Amino acid sequence: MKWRAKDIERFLEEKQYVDTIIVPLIPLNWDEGMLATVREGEYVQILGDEIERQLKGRVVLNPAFTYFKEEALEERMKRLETWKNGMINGGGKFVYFVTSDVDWKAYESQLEHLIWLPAVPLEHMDERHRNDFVAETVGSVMKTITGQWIS
Amino acid sequence: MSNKEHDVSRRQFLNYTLMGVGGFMAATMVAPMARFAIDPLLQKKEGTEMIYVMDVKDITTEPQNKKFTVKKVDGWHKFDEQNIAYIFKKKNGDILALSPTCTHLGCTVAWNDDPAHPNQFHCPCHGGRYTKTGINIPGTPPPAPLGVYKTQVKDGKLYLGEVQSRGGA
Repeated sequence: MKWRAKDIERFLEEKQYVDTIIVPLIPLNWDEGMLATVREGEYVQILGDEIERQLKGRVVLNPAFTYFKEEALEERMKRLETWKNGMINGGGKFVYFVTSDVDWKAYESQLEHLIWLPAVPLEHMDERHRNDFVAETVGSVMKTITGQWIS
Repeated sequence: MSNKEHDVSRRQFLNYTLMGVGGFMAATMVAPMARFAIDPLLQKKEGTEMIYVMDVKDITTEPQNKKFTVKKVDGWHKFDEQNIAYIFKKKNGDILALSPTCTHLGCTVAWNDDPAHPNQFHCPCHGGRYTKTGINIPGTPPPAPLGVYKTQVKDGKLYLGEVQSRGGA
């Protein structure tokens, strides 16, 4: 389900079936590294959309958690904890953070359900390869998520 | 010359003229606006067109996952929508193209991916299951069979149209 009124209405009605939240972690900056940063965000956004499309009956795609690259990691972690607590109190059983930003790797052990994927410059691929590639990546991420549901 | 000989007084004449010209001016301004406002309604409905998906000779009795792109228009917003169909031949030779959208809450179902329940469609979200022809299996969450694409065969090619729901059962 997407973050829009029509989907959230459904979510509120069917809450017992929807227990998984996906939060893209998207870095921002405006210096020389900008293009790479944008690419990381775009990639994660595309994956998030596709996961939502295939698992929409049990997953809510939350708006992205954005942060300036300059923001200290501890600060980000603090903010992210607030988000996560809010989501869990709101009925989320599984909260997945999806990111291409390598910064979070350092916190992998502290952040439960962090899905880290290296960004790929999709804009240089033609449409068919792009779709196949995204489908494959999404497939493996989905296995992680659905695997948790079953266990 | 007296006014009585005319049916229309000077005042009436001026009134009519002003009303006519004013009305015409108002109409010139309003008519195109109305046209702009309802334009999407006047457009031919898209999405009803049939899209080529595969050759009939490649269709087997085993459901095959085929992706195809449909150009959709929602008001002014144009976008490409990726669709999936599971296509196979039934025992009687009829072609069936199923929509993989679970009728429970809309997840995407997969064919034959659950070892515990072979030769069924299976929903990863809440364990909904369907038979090969897309009939929901009682005791699993889905309230209705999988939707079916409108099919059309022309010159050995299979074209798909809109998804038709098969109601609740």
